[in-house]
Amino acid sequence: MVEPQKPDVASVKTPESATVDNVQPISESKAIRVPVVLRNPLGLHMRPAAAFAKTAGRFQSAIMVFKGQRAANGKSFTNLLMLAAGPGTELIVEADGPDASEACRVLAEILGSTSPDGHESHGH
Amino acid sequence: MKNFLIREALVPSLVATTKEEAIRELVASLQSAGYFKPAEMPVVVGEIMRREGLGSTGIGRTVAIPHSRFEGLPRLIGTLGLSRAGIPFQSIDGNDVHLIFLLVSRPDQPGPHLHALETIVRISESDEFLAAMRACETKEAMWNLILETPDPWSQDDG
Repeated sequence: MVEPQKPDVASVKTPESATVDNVQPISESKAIRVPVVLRNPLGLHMRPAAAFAKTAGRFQSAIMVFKGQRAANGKSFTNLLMLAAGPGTELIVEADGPDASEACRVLAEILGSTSPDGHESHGH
Repeated sequence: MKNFLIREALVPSLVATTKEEAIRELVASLQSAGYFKPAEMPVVVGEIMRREGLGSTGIGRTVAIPHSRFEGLPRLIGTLGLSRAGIPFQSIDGNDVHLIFLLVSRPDQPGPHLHALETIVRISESDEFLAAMRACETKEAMWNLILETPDPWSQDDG
């Protein structure tokens, strides 16, 4: 399995010296992260995973999908299948690159779709 | 894998040379093992072929996972067929398929299906497993390898 390239939000530890007011930013990266609840009633099975990866591949940004501490390359549908994400799973989509904002918007839409077969976005 | 693959239905040497023949042969093997009635076979084969028409389940690395849902099963079931010559499957990497994992799941239980997909995808990343499985010449050898191969699930959420 692919390990997260950056610490997951939940795993970031506050330095002992830090206070609520001076916690350092998670990363210098301009990556954008969007939390999304998987609405596909059958989970992230083969077709929606393939649709997600195909759409992700159209973006320049690197795309990662996190399920807790587990991470998948969003441009690889087999990688996404290894998340075994069931319906209702809370996922985080991360995009890092010049079109990160649009990528997150479009990809979060796919995960939030209630269509059992998933759908491939044509918005990009 | 031992939780969803049916020992009696394993096929060490598929006769099939096409995708549809292979799917038919594997469904027939599950039927012979008692999981379908003969009259249900065309329905199951048709559903799996319909799914293939929406996009090949050939995941690359010589592996395919044709599948469908079917009412009336007690649980997710599957079988594995080995093709010596390789079968064109319109796989993602364009290569012929030598290992065909066929899954039939209950419509109301997505969880086991997702975990089966995860298991097969993970195990397919192992060159050692693929080579060892392709070297199996009998159902018994296949089953022993399946028993010896732990499910590579992550332990955090099973």
